[in-house]
Amino acid sequence: MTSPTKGTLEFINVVKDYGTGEPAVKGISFRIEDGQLVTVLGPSGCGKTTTLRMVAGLELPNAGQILLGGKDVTAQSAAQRNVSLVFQSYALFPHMSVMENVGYGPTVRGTKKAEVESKVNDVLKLIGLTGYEKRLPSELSGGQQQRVAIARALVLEPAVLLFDEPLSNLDTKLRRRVREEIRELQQRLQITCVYVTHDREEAMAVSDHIIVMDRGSVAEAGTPHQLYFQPRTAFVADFLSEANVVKGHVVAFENGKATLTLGDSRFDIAADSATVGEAKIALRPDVFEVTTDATVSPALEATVQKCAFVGKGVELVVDTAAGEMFVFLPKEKIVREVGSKVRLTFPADEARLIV
Amino acid sequence: MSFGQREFGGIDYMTGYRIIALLLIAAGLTLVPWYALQDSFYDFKWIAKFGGKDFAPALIQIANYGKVWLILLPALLLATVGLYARPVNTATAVEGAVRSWAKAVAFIGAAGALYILAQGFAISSQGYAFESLKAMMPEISGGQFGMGAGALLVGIGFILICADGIATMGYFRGDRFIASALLCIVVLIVMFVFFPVMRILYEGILDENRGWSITALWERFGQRKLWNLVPGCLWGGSGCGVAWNTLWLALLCATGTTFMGLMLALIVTRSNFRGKKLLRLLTVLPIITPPFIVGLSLIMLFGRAGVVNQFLEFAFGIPQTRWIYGLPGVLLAQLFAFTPVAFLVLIGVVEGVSPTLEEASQSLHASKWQTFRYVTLPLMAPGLANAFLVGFIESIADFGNPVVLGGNFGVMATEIYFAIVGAQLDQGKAAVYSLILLAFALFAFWLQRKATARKSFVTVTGKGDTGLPSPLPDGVRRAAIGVGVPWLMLTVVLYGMSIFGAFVKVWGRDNTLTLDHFAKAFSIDHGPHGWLFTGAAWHSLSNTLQFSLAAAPLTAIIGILSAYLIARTTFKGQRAFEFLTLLSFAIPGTVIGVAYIFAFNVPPIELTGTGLIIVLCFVFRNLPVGVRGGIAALSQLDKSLDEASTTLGANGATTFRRVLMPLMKPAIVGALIYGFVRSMTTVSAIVFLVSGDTEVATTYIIGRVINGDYGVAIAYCSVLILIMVIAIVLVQWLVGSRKLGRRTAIAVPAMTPVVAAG
Repeated sequence: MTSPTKGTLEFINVVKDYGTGEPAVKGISFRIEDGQLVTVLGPSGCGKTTTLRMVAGLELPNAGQILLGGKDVTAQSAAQRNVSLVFQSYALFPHMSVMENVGYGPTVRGTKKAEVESKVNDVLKLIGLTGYEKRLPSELSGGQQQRVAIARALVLEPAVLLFDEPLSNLDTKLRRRVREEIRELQQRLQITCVYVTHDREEAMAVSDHIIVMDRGSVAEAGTPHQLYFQPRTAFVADFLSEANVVKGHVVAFENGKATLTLGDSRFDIAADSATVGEAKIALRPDVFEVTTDATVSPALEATVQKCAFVGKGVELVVDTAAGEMFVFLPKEKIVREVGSKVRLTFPADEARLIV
Repeated sequence: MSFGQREFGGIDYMTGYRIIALLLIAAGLTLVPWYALQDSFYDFKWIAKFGGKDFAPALIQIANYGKVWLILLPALLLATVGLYARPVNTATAVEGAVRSWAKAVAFIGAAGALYILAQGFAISSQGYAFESLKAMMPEISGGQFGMGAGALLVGIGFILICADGIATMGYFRGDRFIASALLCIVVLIVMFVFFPVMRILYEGILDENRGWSITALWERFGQRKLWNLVPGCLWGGSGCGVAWNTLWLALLCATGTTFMGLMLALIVTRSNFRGKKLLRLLTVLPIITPPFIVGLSLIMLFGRAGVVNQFLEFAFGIPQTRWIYGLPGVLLAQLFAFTPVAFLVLIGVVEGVSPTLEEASQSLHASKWQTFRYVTLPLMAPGLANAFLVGFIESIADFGNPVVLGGNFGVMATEIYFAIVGAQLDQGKAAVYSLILLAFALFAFWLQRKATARKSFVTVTGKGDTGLPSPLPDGVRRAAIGVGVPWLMLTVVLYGMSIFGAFVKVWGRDNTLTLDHFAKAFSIDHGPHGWLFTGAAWHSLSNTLQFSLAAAPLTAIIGILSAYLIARTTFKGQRAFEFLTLLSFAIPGTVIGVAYIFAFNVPPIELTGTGLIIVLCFVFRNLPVGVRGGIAALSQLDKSLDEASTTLGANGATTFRRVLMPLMKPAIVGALIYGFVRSMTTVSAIVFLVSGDTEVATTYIIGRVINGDYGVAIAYCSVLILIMVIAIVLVQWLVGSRKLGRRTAIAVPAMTPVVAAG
């Protein structure tokens, strides 16, 4: 691990309990390196927004430590912390012009007026809003409002920039563009960003790293690639790729290869480690091939329960001896009849043993 | 990081705060008189006599005049300076060191503030106030009078220090602004609402020799005059106990106003009645009407020399009667005065009933009447209960109408008045009556809160409810029009007559038009020394304006600040704080007036006879409306606005000033207008508090009414109404409403539903 620099953010066993039964955040630890964009991803109520608010200083943890740039900021208030938050609702001050909104931070921190103006102009130029200085927020479009919100956060040159579901108030078409803009800006400024969302596609598209949260704990953390292809937990496998999680039985393990029985068939799959006995296996919907050729082996016998053509492919729900499976066949055009018998195969390195 | 915390010439916010607190204490101890002055502080004559026995600041009082007990205050100041000079370095300190340092600061601040009060109560003008202290404490020579400017400054300073300690301990997110605002408001409310009310209780327990006696309390409480129950009670006959009179009147009044208010609300929302606009306009009238106008107009109409009686005698030879004086007259006056209040409560309720539900009922084959009876009415039930209890509280607190029209029909409010200003001053009686009245009011207040706390059925979704309100059943519509039209006509007649009455010589006897009444009250002469305001009313009018203008901004500031603390911060005891700020709404004006006399007639806080006590009374009586208006306004502002400001580096004070205040302008305007208007028209609360010097418009008018000088009284009332209308327009125009690019904000709603007890 490198030594912490300005934008390094670290959580050590942080707990937040509102005293309403279960704690919102149950002792989480993670470390975000300087200059990275890290997404906190999870279903609603998983504690991701609480985590973000604790970074911002809007909530103070009940236990644990928050380190920013290597310094303990746990007890610092939001006003003292060198972080800025872009709010989900943007929270632009409706009675202030774009100039006043963006200049608010420097102004309340006692910067001279001329300096404030030049800073604001720089940031507006950066974000592409030059010429809108006099407008009120209500006179801007949704996308422009969000840029003002980002400019207002950026003008303070924060060590960490926080985004709370920044795309949720935009229509679908704008979303892709804005998320690309955010990523592009982040790369240009080399600024640490923490980004909260519940949309897995959005998370994978923008992040260097993803922290997946589940019921107040960190389920798993890693690069989008790692989490998508090599999940370690059933939750992440399901949440990120809608993988089928089925029960099997490991009968042998050697040289990075596990042998397991799934239903009546025996498969060899790639694994770093495995113990002989009951095991859970994650199989993404898109790893399967479907055949009716009885000679292909090993294969899983399956009965088609549902079948739908969805344009970019065919979705199948099949019944197997290992349980029900959801199968997605890209490029497939044939709709199979309900009740027909098929055989499922998958590559050895696409099945994952998970906990 | 290129920005530090906000700095002033190299001093950060925290250090600046501490320096101000210390300077306040130092100045209070050395520069201004410690004790209250006989004359005004603001004429600054005390500077010439600086250091004299009555004019010396605390340090000289200690050194030269034997007030040795004050020595603790400079000692505490030195202790604070010592602590501030050696702050704990957060970077190197062991765990808990900062907290214990902060605890020490908070403790010293609290000790200083409490000691000021404690010594004030313990040592009166004749030395120790309690026998037990004499035995325990060292002997002192002489005593002391009420505390003054010096004590005030030192007290504020110690409160700020206490708040600093509490904030440093980590409460309120370490925000000194929030901590000190909360502490100051709590101290103010305890001193000017809670303490006076407690004083009443204390006064009720004292017997004639001012000794403690529960039997005295019990005797006063059980008087026949209070609780005697005879059949005559029902029509206000004689021999009925005052408590029963009050309760019976309140029940009738609440029932009547709720019924009429509902009918008027139904007319406005559910019918195509043509006088709707006029009706809405008239409902604002009672708010800006001095409390006697309705009573006086009723006398002109139905009194012995009134139009109706004269006509009846002239046309049918029916002898003139005095029926208007007593229960019927008071009830009639209250119905006219308080129906608009019920209307304002109910119009929101009626409008809130979702038309979709009524359409659903009709589509299920219910008739119009069945829909009204089984859907609309039950949906409005909580609102009706609310209106009923508001009417109840208004009635038991009403002083103006019973004093004008009551005759032999006594109610609690007037009995208290006569116990204080009457021939035999009976403080114990006033105290116990006040307690009973307070108990009635608190009980009603409690019921009201319970009723409104129940899950409301009102379904306001803001938009998307496209259904049409179903038309009223014929019977209900006829009843509504049948009540509404006469009410409308009578109100117009009453107000019209009152204006007319100001221009005739002697109402009912000599109807020659004249401007004499205005001349008597508001004449201006040009003499050898320039313009002279010789009119009899100028003095009281100028007082009223001064006090109201002073009270309105204070009400707005404290009210909005309290609302901010309630709606935007979290701390332990927040519910209790909210209750405390709303408490004075339930205290009838007469009770507050009595309480202020008991509490502030003697040291340590000696305020009777000053203008200050009247201003304070205005402020704390009108506070609940400011608080409610503020909470309502804040609930419409997204909390993320505050958080955005905080993350951008602003502290609580900056956020409040730069973000919330500009967005709360409508609520602030509402609080300002309400504070001003209510102060102009208050009578019951201040009738005991005024002196010759501080006489105000309403008490002057009362004097004229009691002397039967109705012309001047009414002329004065109409001038007051004119001033209030001008003030409302002026405030709206001055403060304006900044364009947010969407709807323009409406300024008055904050004052509408809550017309506090008179």
